[in-house]
Amino acid sequence: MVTVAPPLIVLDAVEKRFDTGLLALERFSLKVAANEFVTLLGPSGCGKSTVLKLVANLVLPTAGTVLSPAQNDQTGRSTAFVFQEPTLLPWATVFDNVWLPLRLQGQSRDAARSLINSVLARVGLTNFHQSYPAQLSGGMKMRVSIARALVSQPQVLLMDEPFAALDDITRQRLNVDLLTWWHDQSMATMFVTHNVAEAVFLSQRVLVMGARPGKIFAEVHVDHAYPRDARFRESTQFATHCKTLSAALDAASSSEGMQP
Amino acid sequence: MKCEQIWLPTMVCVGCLLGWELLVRWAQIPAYTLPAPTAVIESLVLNWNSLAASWWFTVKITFSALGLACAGGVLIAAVFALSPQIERAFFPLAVVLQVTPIVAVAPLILIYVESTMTALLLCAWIVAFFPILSNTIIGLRSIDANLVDLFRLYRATPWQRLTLLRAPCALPYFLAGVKISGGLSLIGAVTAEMVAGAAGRDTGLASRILEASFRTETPKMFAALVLLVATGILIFFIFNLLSTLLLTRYAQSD
Repeated sequence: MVTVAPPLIVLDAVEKRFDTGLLALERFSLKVAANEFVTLLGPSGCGKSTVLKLVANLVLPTAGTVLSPAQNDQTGRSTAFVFQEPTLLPWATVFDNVWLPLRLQGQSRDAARSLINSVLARVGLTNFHQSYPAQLSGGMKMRVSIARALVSQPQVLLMDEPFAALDDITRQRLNVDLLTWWHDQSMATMFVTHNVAEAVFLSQRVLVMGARPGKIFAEVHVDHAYPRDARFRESTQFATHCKTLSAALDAASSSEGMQP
Repeated sequence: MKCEQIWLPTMVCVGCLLGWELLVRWAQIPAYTLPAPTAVIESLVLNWNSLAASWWFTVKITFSALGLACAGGVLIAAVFALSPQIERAFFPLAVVLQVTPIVAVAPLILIYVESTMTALLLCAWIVAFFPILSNTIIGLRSIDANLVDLFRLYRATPWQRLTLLRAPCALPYFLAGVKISGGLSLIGAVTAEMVAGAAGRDTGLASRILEASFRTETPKMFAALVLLVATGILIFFIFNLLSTLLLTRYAQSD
């Protein structure tokens, strides 16, 4: 795939060293185009989450440059973040949780109502407006979390292992739905996972990361047209990609073991 | 189950009172040693005017001190939460205030503070503010780091962060502190008045107990005690109800 438009997100020779002295990322470079779906695949502790936080402008690099919409964003609408935990306000209803980003931008409940209703309908939570997070299953809580991310209509969607804690059936269903939402709303999506099959199913591009310090180990393009469905999971193409990525992930993980 | 929860303690209570009454009558214990429950009630009725006025005085001190403890505890907790340096500097002082027995400090406070009323308030406040302070600090610290990130990402103002995130997060902890402090401020108010040994019209139940003890009016001592216990129970129920009402939404998240 050739992208002619200038990339939306650029990380150039980024280094991130934490106050503890831990070098999380070293000479890390990455470009993501508008509307692209990119997955960061790697063992835990390889700095995947740090990359997302750099893009969200929640942490600053110790060296190198980061360019992302979150940097010059006064309204806070450009970028949305979905964490591994649903991270909802336990004292607020589903509706109010989804209202939060708009509320922080000064929108009243009434002004935001039609938008929130439509987003809740799209994520399949029409009948749960007045429920509290504790009354929902893990998968539904994650749907609320994603609805909250979608409601501000961001240019960039950052997802940090959002489905890691869910069972396989729920995860696969959410993968299919996520592609629909991504397609409808056209946003650059950066997805972090350590699940190879999930990475292949979702992404246009998968970056395999090695750890300590985090760097890109391999890059795999998944040139399969969207929409993708269950049949894609059974195709030989899917299996080949999975095999390639598993090998790369193995290599990335073992190289980490060899470096003290 | 529900029935058992109500009936069992009620029956134990009634049984104890009945046993007490029978014991006093059977052993013919004089009222100045141990008055029977009926004698206590009789004294309560006889002395109602003076006891009720004193009760109202004690209630006023207790609730004023609790109100000030809430304001002070929350304010100090907020300052501590904003500046870890200030917390490191001043938290030991708060602990010193907390661990010093109020009976031991009360005489000093009575020397330094002109008005007895203010001295009583101060004593009750010292006893009551610490649970609110330490609980609110824990509450303010228990906030999910990812939620803090989310509020930063959405460019929340400091006011929005306080009202939409920090305050609701700390509320259950604060209320747990108030439940403890409610009883403590009553204890503080009574203890300080015992030490003050004040006499006259504008005094609380502690002064009535002291007076009655000087005159060996034991039934009246018990009557005042009954009012104090009832007040303590009332305070407990008020704050239990308040916290249940305010936390219904949280309760659903357990």
